[in-house]
Amino acid sequence: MPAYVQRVRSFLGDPNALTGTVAFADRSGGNLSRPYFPDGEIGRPPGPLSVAQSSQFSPFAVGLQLDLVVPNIGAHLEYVRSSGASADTPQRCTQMPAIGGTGGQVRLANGIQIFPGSVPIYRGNQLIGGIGVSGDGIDQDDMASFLGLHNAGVRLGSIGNAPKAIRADNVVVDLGNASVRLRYVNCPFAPFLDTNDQNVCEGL
Amino acid sequence: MAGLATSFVPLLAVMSGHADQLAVRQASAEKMEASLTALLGVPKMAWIGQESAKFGQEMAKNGPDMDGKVGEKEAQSPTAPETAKDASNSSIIEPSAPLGPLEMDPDGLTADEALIDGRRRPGVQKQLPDPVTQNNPGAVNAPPPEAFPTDEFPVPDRWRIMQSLCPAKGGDQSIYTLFGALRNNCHSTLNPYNQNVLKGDKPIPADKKPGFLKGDDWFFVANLISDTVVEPRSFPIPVGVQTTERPNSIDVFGRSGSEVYAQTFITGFALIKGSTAYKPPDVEYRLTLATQVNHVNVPERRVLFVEPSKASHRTDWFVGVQEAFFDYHIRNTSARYDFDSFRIGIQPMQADFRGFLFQDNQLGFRLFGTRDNNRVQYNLGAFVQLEKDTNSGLNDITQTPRESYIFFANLYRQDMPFVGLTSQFSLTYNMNREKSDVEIDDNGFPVRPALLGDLRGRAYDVVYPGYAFDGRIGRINLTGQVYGAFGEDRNSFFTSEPAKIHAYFGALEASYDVDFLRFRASGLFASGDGNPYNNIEAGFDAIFENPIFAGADTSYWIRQTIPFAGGGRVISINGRNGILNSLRSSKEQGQSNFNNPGTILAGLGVDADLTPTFRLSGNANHLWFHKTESLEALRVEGSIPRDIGWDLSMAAIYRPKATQNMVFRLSGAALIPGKGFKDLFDQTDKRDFHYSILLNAILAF
Repeated sequence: MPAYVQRVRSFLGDPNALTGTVAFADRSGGNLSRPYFPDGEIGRPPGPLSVAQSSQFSPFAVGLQLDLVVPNIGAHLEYVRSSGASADTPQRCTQMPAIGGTGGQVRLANGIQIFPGSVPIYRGNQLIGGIGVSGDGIDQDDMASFLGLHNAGVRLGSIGNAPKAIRADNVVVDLGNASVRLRYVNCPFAPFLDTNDQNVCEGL
Repeated sequence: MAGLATSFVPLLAVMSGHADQLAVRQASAEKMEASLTALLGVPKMAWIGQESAKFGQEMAKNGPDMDGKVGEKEAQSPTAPETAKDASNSSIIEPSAPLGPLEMDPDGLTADEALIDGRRRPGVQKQLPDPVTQNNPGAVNAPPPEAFPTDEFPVPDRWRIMQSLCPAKGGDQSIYTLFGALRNNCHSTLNPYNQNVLKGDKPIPADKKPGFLKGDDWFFVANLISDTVVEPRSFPIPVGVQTTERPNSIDVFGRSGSEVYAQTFITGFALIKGSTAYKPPDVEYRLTLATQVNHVNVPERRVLFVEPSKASHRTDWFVGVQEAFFDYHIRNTSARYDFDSFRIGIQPMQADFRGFLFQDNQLGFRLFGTRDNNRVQYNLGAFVQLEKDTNSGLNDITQTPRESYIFFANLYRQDMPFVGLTSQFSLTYNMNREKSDVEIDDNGFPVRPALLGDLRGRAYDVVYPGYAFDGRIGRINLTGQVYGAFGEDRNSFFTSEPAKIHAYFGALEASYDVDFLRFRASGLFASGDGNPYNNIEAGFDAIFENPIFAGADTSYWIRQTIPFAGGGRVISINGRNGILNSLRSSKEQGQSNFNNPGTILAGLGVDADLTPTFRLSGNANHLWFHKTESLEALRVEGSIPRDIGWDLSMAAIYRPKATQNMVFRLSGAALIPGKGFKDLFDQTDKRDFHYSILLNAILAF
């Protein structure tokens, strides 16, 4: 995993990346996890959380997303194949080390996926958690997370989305002959039934 | 321009110190004066008439192409003065011709048969007067032509008679003191309104004519037109999916304003063999190239290029072949020069009066001609659609032509059903075989098959029967058009099954002139599809529309393209310079689409010719979708209202010389969205309307 951290820092040209100064939504991480960056544009380098070279990409080699969980899945497969002779995986999906003082909790115990639909939760400038939504299209999931958190913040008055200034869409990656900005969220067109509301996340 | 009165000539001559030469010159002067007046006066009149006809330029009609470019400025030479003055004072016996045959009873005569005094018609021989005989005993005969040295009459052909009188530059200019009007004919050839061998006013001189051109009367025509477009406009633009131009772009629609700059040079060359104004040319070769440089600047990524990393502005250029044809005059069919001709190659074609169905320069073969003294005109044609350059819309002959074929037949009849109204009957068949075709445009966006519905390739056959009329009834000017579209789409993108096409179109524009004002009322209906998932496609779409209707490209909805964000990828609600809501990937490169919401337009307009050089126009159109079920299915939305909104526009046209050689136009249009448009689109600008501003300068030489 440290290799991925280093790749992200080199890729973004920022030795201090991933130290909590930028609020990444799931969509932003997804931008960095595709075999080409920006996604779909052949001839561009792979995202730093994807495979090391675009040509290595396959459904069985997608970079960080699979690298996190393959050892555990492999251990379980071997356990099944050997009828219990081999040790089974611990009851989690990754081998991330435990967080000290938490009684064995680990980060990313269930791995990650790169579909949009989650946003970090902030109290002021303090990251305090995250919320993820799945079930509809990715834009709808984004909106449910982002707008839900926003409205919760309006109601509660203490929490909310990341301040605009630190959201990942302020990060611009220099590709030499082009510059590509990360996304934060992307709310859908015509989001609500029976109204003609559009651009409901704009400005929030 | 009248010639100088004869009595002024001596006075002028005296004033300019030529009294001593007067006696010598007066005789020949009077003679030349008479013919000069006749020759100069008539072309000038014809020229004025031509200009005023062009002022109604917006109504581009298209009958069989009679471009009698040769000789447009050559008026038929007037009847020579009947009584030539004779300097020798010899007596002339003028027998009084009997006038009997002319004094006929007008009853029972048609207008054609009536012989008006002084008027001549081909094929009709009036009784001639007796020959003039000279009785001049003892006089010396006039010398025979051979007696003159040939180098004294350097008049190669009748087109050059006038210029041969012009004095050499820097030479003796005294002839102008006698014939001031001659100046009008001795100007620089740089002025496009003067007679010019490079512009087809005069035939190629015999000594400069290349050997492969057989016979006389070969004209060379070169054209140069500069067309400049500056166009700030706005329409709903989605932000990029993979990346965005600015931070905080977290919703679908971004900023809407963008600009287009386009400079086009149209260079045309033609070789024409012809003879007079009224006889169509025998042979014509024509090549027209259009060179365009364009620059577009949009506010969001991935609008101009498929690659998200590319910038949101683009400069491109292209040279398109807009005309390259051979035209042959097969035969005349009457003494009035009714004719049959064919034309093969890349040529302009317009299927109806106003360009509703097909108006483009395309590769094909066309047989055309006239009958009944040009009161019947016909066209038979077969065309194959050339691929277009994406960013300029010009013909790209380096690519394989599309598998889209157009066969058409049409017939124009003047004064039917009323005097002043021309009717057109047409049958157009579009055979599209692009089922297995995959076309990616120059910016990387797929255009065939369209990224809509099931994304499968499709072929279709559509027949468009049509009836149109154009003209006037009394003082009311009228243009109307009805089309049906019948055929089969082999793959409806909603059902992935073949579907019948049953669609309809109607348009009517009426106008009434009051002094310098023309008031217009326009209505248009193109049927929409109300049930996307059945096996009938009921949305009307054209082949390649370029409608001159309801304000044309001054109007917002006709000029601008609205991306159908959220409903399809690389799909527009309507096309550029198009009025139909056809959900095509591109008007230029996409296929016709009959699963569309249809269009309804009702509008009023007024043209004010404030001065001969300045016109103001205003239009107020209201637009609706006919049926929005197809939009709802593609957007997965429950209810989309039909109201598109108000399209309000103004245009100022300034022609400083009152000619078409310099035309400046500034137009501004605003779309005030209605409920349907608001339901579909939004923008981040703090503005609740969309605009289209067009500055267009056309300079022609």
